[in-house]
Amino acid sequence: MKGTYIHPLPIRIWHWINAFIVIVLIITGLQLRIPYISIFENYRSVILIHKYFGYAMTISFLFWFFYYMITGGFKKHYLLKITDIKAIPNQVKYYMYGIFKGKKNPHTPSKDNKFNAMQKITYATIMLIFTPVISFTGILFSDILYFFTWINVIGGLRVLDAIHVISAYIFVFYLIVHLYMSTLGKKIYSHTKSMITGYED
Amino acid sequence: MIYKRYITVCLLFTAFIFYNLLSFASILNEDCLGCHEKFTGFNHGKANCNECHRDITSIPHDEKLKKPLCNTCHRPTDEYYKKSIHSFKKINCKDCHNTHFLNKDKKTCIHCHPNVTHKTLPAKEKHLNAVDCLACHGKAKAGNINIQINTGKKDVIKLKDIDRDGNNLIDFIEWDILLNTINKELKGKTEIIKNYDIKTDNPHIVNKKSVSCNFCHSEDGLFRYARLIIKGKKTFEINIDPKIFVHELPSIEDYKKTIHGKKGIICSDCHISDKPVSDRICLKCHEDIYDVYKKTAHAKDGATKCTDCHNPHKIKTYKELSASERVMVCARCHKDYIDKHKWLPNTVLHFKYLECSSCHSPESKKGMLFSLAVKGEKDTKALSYVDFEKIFGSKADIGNIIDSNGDNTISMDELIFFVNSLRKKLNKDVVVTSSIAVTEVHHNYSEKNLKSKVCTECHMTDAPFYNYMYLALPQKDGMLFIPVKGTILSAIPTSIFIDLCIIGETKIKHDDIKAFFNADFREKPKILKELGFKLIDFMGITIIFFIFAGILVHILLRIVVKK
Repeated sequence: MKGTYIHPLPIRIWHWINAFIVIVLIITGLQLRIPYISIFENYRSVILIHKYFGYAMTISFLFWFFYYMITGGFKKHYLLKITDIKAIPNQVKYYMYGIFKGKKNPHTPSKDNKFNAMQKITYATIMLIFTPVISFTGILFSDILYFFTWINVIGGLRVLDAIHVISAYIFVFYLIVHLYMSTLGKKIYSHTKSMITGYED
Repeated sequence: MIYKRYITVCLLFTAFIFYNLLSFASILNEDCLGCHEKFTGFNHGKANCNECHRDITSIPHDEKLKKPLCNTCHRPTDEYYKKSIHSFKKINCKDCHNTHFLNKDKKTCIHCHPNVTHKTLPAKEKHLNAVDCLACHGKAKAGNINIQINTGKKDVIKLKDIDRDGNNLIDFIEWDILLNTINKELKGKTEIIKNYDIKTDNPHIVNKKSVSCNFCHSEDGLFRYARLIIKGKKTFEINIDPKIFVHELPSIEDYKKTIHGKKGIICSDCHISDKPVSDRICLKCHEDIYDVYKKTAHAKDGATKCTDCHNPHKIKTYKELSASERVMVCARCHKDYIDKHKWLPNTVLHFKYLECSSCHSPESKKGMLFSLAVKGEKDTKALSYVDFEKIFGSKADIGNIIDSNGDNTISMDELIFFVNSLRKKLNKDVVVTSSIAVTEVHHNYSEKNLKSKVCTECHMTDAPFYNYMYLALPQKDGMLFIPVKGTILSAIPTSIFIDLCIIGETKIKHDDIKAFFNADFREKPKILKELGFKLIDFMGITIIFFIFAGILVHILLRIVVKK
């Protein structure tokens, strides 16, 4: 294989499983939020799919979290270093201008530092803030009476719903941008290919 | 001089004390028992012989002695006893109490009244087993119920499973669930021990006439407090609604306050014989309802009579019953309603806010009812008319006070202002509670198997009840329902409106977006404020739109600049 090996197998498998879970959750979530959109015929089954895929997402998150905890990937790939912060303007300039001119990406992914500064910020926010928040609020929704006191501490069902839905919107924003930016590699499919084979061109 | 007089008084007082002591202590118990052997080992508290037989000053004593008077010592008891039926019948203390051996031959009610028939007492055996004579014939002042369930060594009942809403009180529905669990898990191998503990003021006040049924079986009856004790692997206790075990019964006074009583219907209008009231009696006035009802599954072959569901003696009209109280009407027969609805996510939660007919009687009109309540540490208590009377006086029209602009609709600002002013006046945490209720009943409840898609009937932005929202205010006689403006739900602060969230009210509608863009520029902030939680969708959709626009521009630039 050509290129640098940056995505280890467990993370590649996790990525695609998680992607599937997130997409199912977004589709079912969309129908839950807007019942007029009838993707599945039975609304109740939508609730159940959303609920069990939600549990699956929690497990998937825990796998990702402990994988990086054990392999020490957080420090390598997610911790924002001073050099990263200094590199942000260049990175923005690249996406806003350089890319059109066919310039080279200022960040070269390596096995020990696979994300650029902006990726680090985005992925860490999504994975370490919004995934736990959306999973936790979702679990509270799974048996409202059972978690009644917890929900009241948060401020009631409407606040819980608001937190869950805001996080869901952020996931949608993220996903759209993520999908588009996956086409910004050397070739349109380069990034996607590397997430399958592990090797970045 | 004063000094001398003081000494004289002291001497006289000491002499008096000594005389008394000598006169009591002069005869020793042993001396008496020398002759009166049969009283050896007598016991009347710590009293000596001479304390009751006061006229004995020396031994041998006079043959004719006065009879000792109990009330010399037991004066308060005697005062009570004088008011008792036994006193009127000239029954003395000694007829019941053995004065020399207090614990011997002590007579209880049954000694004199062995075969009381209690002919008119309903559920005779139940009553006689549960409580003693004094409960009804004495002067009871407080009653507690203790319910004990032994589950053996199994740990099948857990606190969090039975107190599903965590309010530290087991209500009718939760008790039903508990009974179901016991039947299922323990297969009837356990016994539910019910102990009705009644404190009487003084057992010496006894009346022939018993207290009326309403003494216990009324809203403010004797049993105010009940405790459920579950003994399993771990033992735990929790409060339980005493009305589950001592239910309410009608009384003439209460009947006058019912809708039937108010309309001048007297007992004999319905109770034409000693037979139970039949449907024919009801249909004299409610023919139109009966026409609908007779065609339904309930009425088939006379299976369910009107009175099986309706209690004409209830003060509360059907309109005034809360959702969970209405569920209990159906649950009298449909006891397995929780199990049957296991397919429904959050089953118990649904039954807290919904009544059966909101789904099973599709032709009924549904509405959303709001009421004002005080949030306590453990539970939320609805504000009653008395509470309002205390604050505003008996002449004030509360409807007008809330609806300050007089448009006969309550807006968000009006409600917030009213709740805040109540909070200041009561110095308590006043909140708005809500439930979905049928406002206009259609008596066809034959709809069954509604599993498919039924969720979206309510969990929709255009669910039927959003068009019928009312604030229910308690009045001196009945309830006042004031319409509430539809936009209230999405914007009202969570601090005053806590419990209801059926998702639909916080989702944005096409009409909302249209209204925002069509509105005058000055009106826009107000519309945004009223959107409340709907702003989440509004912002979300807007941002998605901008993201797509940004990506489109980026793609275009990629193509154009490369060329």
